[in-house]
Amino acid sequence: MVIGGDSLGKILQAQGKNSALIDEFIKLTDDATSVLCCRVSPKQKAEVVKLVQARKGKITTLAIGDGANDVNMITAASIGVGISGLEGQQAARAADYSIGQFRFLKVLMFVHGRECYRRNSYLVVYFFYKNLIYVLPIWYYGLLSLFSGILFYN
Amino acid sequence: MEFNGASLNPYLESFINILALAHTIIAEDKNGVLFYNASSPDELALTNAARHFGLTFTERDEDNNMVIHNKFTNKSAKYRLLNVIEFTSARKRMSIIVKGPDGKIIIMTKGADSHIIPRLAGGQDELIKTTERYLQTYAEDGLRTLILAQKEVDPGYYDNWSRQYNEAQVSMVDRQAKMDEVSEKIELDFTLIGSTAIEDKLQEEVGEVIQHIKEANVKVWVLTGDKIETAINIGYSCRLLDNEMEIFIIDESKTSKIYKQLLDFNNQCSQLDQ
Repeated sequence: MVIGGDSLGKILQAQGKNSALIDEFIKLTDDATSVLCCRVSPKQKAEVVKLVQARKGKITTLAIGDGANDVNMITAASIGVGISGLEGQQAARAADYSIGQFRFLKVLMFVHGRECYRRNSYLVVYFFYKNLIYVLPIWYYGLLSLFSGILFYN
Repeated sequence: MEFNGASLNPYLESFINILALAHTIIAEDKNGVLFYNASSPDELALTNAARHFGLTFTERDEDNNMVIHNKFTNKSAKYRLLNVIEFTSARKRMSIIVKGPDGKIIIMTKGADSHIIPRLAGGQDELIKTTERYLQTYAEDGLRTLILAQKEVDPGYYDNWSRQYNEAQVSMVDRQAKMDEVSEKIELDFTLIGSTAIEDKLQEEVGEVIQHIKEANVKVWVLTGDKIETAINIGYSCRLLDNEMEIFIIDESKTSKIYKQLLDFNNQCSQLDQ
């Protein structure tokens, strides 16, 4: 779906006042494969991100941009990605991740992003395992030593 | 290009003159080669275009003169830079006020059509219509469009305005708002000079990446400052949109109408699902 600047402005203004309008808008964006917003000011870019976050609850948003006018949006999103390039460094500076070209986004999301998630989950599982292995001998030894406080590990 | 002392058409000259003057580029002379340092690639493209067509912005000298070298006459003209009213995303235009070699004070502006056309002087309907038609075709080709306009300012009026503008510039409260308000007073009754269109090339593999992201079931939103036609065209070229998609365009300015459209499209969606 494609949405023009005036309409988007009205929808953003309706927040907290005309919830029916926003409901319908969000419903339509749910069904749409992609959403294109035109004539958006930098402030509105951030507002759109915040609207989606507020409405959809538990979702992760990623914003990617290269210009100074994307800075608001990048800071508003859960993950901000900046492209450093012709349009200056502002976006890259404000971002959580800064990349040189748009095509690196694929690697960032699908290789590094996925690997980071996988490794983190692995670490959490390992953490439980490690604690078990470490603590259980102490505890069993405690039974043997009548909890007198003798150290198992030296 | 060979010029052989040919002269520029006066209309064309004022058009290229704006391209050569209305910018915030810093020219640098590196061992005899002219380099431009621009904050935006668009400005760089336009000033380079002016250079290509014979009017070269060579430097901004110590006395704040912008020097334009004319390839046809092989002479340099000095335009005294009086004010620059900078581009902001709310104003969607930038203006520059210069005093030409003939002593006339001219304000030149370039910006989005939506913000400049309402500020044009009356009696240019025919020209505006033609320009709008061109803009439409440019936008449909996915080009980024700008409109150029200028106006001669009466020196007395300028002095008065300049005082107000300086006051606004040093104001401690609401500076931006005050500057905008004063700017509005001089950015009026322009004569339309022409329009430009710049191709904003996509980076490599953008389409592919977006395709992958869509396959991963990530919802893609594009937020752009371009006009609808440009945005749709770029949407196609980066594979965000394709021909099998049903495109719903919402472009109303009244809340009740937007609501109606949204309801309508939602109904159509549920019908498509069945």
